Amino acid sequence: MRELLRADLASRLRMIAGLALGIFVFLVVLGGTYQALGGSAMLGDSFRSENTPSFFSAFAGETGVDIFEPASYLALGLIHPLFLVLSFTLGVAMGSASVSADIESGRSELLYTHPRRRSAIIDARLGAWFVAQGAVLLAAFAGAAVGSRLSDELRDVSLAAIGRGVVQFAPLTVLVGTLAFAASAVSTTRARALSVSIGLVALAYLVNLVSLMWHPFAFARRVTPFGYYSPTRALVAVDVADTAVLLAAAAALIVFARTAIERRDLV
Amino acid sequence: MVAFPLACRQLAKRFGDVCALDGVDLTVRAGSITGFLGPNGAGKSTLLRIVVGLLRPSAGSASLFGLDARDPNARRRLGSMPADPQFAASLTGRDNLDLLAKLHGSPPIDREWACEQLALDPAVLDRRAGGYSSGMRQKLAIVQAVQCRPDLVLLDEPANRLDPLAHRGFSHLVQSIAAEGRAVLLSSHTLSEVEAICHDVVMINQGRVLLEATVAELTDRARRVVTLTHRAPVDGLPAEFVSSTSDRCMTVGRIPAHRVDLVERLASHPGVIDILVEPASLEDVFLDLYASPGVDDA
Repeated sequence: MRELLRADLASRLRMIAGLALGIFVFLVVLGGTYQALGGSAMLGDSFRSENTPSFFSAFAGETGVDIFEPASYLALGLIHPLFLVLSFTLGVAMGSASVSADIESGRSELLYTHPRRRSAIIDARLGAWFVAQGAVLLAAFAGAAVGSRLSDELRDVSLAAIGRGVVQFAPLTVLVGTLAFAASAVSTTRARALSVSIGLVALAYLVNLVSLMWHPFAFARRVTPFGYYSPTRALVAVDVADTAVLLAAAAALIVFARTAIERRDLV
Repeated sequence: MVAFPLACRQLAKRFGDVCALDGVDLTVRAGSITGFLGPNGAGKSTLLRIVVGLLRPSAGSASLFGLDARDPNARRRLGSMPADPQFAASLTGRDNLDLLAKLHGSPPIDREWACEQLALDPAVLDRRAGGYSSGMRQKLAIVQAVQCRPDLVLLDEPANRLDPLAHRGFSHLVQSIAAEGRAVLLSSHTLSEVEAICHDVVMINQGRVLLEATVAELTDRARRVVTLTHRAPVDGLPAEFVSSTSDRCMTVGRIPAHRVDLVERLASHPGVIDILVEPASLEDVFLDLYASPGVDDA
């Protein structure tokens, strides 16, 4: 199935390159402008007198964090909505296209008529996505590393810490991508798989944001996958338990997708 | 017991309230080319999709060489071409063929031969499939179906969009496959093509097989086309002669097969000066069958 994996990667090459470049540039700009905006002193002066608004902390994926501290500022970049969109696009695009787009276009009539298990096709597609997602995450690491070197204060954040942040983020992208694969495995149109995936991720993000801003709703945080990802803490140490939860959920979705595709009609 | 390349027994498929196939029995013999005919929505593509494993039957069974159609060992002996083939647009034709051969798990030993037959220029295979014309895509789809030398080839509307040269090559290709003892099931709306190259014909409508026979049996059984030439309008023709067009000097109609007595009566009818009896074509059979009252209500 390496041929199918290669074919999938070849057909997505421009998208992968675009997203990798986009995420790299975003993190370079984020890091590079920290100093230009005045660094922790000036940003802190602007907000600290009235305490950092909880809205800002919530966007950094934490409560009670001063996001203008160098490390927290970098962490903000690793959960910024634009960073999330750039990171999740690949998984959602490749996942939602994995089965339903084949059915919609009629390509399933060439791909799924051979003496192979259907799940082998989805495995190859998952493989292609893992490789592509790895490239985008590598670009994120490179962008954060370069960006942080452009500001004196951010230079204190070590490359290992940045690496930990990206590693902690990877299971979240895996979960979102596998959600799209699962949605595609039970859909007949790509649009439906896309809307289900994007809708669920957006809902989870919103629930997470509200739970961070509004204490009575704090319990809901651990219901969403975003509750198992804190870039601020990840820069210090990878949370193995949270990573395991996200990967276990992703594995369950893969099992679901593989089972569903074996049982369904592919038209 | 002989294991037929393809045997469907009481095959049924429902999509919600819609019954696409309703107890279909169908057999394809080794070494034969079987034409699979029916109007749009008759259930042809549904049956082919069950055989290739895209759909699961609601009832009944489809077997390939005596094995369940979903068995990988059976599917390894099958090659199929969909009605509207879609290739990976970013890959070349050759890469697409390589990918599909790998999925099939057999070497593409007949690829060059099939390309030759269909006049598919090897240089074309090195171009991206996304830029192919519909005719080239059709040729590529036929090549992918036969490239691994399957023992049973399913072709859904294969000759659509083929130029006359490729069309002739296609006929030769299919006949060569059958001559080697392999089998072909060919779904088509081009009745002249089916009549020219098929040995057997299965006609289906509203999910049911209407008839299964050899082409010769069908055309032999079908009603003959009779053209009467006369000097003036004629009256009192036998009731069994069903006229379709008539004017002052000529009447065209049909008579049941094997009614030699009727030909004699028409020839000797007052006013008739000439009579021409033509053998029925498969198209006549098709039109007879599907235009018959009650067929659509079956």
